[in-house]
Amino acid sequence: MSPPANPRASTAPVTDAATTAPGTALTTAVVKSDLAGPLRDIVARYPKARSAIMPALYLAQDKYGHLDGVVYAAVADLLRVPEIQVFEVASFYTLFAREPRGTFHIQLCDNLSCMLLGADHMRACLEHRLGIQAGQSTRDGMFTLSLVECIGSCDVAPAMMINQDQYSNLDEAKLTDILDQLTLGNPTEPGDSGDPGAQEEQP
Amino acid sequence: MSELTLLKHIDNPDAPRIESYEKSGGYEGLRRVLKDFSPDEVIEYVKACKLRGRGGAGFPTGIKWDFVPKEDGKPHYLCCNADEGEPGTFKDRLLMERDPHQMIEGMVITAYATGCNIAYVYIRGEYGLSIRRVQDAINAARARGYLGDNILGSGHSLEIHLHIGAGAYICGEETALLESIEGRRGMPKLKPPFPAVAGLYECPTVVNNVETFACLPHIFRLGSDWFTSIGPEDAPGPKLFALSGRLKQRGVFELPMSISLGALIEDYGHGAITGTLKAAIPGGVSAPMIPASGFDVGMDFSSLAAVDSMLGSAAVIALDETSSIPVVARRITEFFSHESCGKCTPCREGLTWAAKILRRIESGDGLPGDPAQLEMLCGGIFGNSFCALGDGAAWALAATLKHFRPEYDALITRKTATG
Repeated sequence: MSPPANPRASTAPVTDAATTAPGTALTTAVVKSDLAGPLRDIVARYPKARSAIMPALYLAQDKYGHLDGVVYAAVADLLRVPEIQVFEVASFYTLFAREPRGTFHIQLCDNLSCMLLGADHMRACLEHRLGIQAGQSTRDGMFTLSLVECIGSCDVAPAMMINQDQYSNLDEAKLTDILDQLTLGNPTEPGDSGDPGAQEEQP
Repeated sequence: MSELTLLKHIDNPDAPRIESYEKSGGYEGLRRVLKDFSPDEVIEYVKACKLRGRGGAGFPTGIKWDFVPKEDGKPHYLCCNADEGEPGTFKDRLLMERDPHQMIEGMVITAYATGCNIAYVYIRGEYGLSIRRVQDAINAARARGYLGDNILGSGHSLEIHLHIGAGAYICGEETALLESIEGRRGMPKLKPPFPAVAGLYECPTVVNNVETFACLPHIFRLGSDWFTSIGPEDAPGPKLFALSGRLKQRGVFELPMSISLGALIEDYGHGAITGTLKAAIPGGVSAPMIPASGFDVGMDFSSLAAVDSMLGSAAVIALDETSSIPVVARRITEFFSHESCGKCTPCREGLTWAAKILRRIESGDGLPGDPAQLEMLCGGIFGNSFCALGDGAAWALAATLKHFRPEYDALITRKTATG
């Protein structure tokens, strides 16, 4: 088996027709007026406004899907910090998306515990089914496939997240089912590890 | 099987609710602390319990608190390190999702002892359910008077806020975590000064792990005799172990630290999925792996240090005969290379280089000098990197070469012979 390339390290752009960038119609003024209210409460939690950069980027990402220069400028204005400080943060943390992503962001863990229980096969299944490589999006803008580092679901490996939901104990049949449901528009219940039944019993 | 404390209510779906927590003795420890203890007495009590940090380094918690200056006129900050990112580790997640008030109560006790009025819980962004459960627990605790102004009439006040991480393993390192809360890239800072003296916003700051906080309510409810009666003398108290990898049973188990790695794997992990185990990583992927012949080692700080490994996050990842050690080493090294913050050259460049060699070996293009090259790189990274990330990466890789060199040689010579 040839070793996988490392799609995390690349900045491989998503397929160009992937999504319509929601940011195109946005102006700094619009973003500022969207974020000003919720950001006011957040800033109050910290002695210095700079601390609110990460929460502000999360607010923007939740609202617009991804982050770009318009967002950085708006956040910088609202927090009265230089724009470069906002960009430094946005470009350091992997959960901040600086490119458009598909409606469903599939984040497959292939770190050690998941790898030992078949994550590489799950990757091959996902790539085959979606017709893309890890690090890319489908042309219809539905799916983005990323490989991610450990998501703390090692006991129920292999595991992945789709947007905010965790799916665990994956196999080929389960993967097919999850993707079928998402394609049809009715997501299956994610394997929430908060469900006591999902945990191994104490002997 | 000893009686469970931290995980006692984990299977009760009502456990995250404050009513349920109070019914099982929750917040009694805090009431006792506020009624009978001065802040200094809390610190002395925790010191006497020999509670050691559950995040990885095992530093004595009470001694860490004692470094915080008294009456210095500055605000003091408290941080909960819930940025659980060490691959193989999922114990804090369980505590936050299933019984989060233990951690909240422990934070209030710590804040009282160290004079903190503002606390931040730094939870990794991937832990959506933990984030919701901890926020709900904070809201409920506040409504009951365990947080906010003048807690239970003690005169002490505390607000706890969440700060959500965004996918950077390095933020589990405490100075990087503090940088991240300050709105910067998560890059470690030189110590000293230690956070206890100059941490968040240059003010005295206490940083402890979720599980460390979760131990505190029980210490003050059940007493130090209860705590020190569990496990070895130099590392007492209940401990959570996360089991994953090629084991028949995987999950989180609460046990005294005296248990051996072999017993943990056989009695709780129910042994290898296929055939026999060849090695185990005892404390998350930074901890050097131990070959099966060495499984008779105690899962505590000093016993593991004596065999050149570490307890770390107490996350055991088992490898059986289907697991290729060079492939495992490649994956671990790629992880560290990806998560290197880039601040120091040995870690940033050394790990990139090592990962490249490991990929070459795995693809069958390894050169006879590659294992020696890797050893040279490990020597160059270890002790020369800015923080423990580089050290852990080099140490973990070096152990694979030390114990399983023939597996590397086989991959390399196979190519040489046929090519």
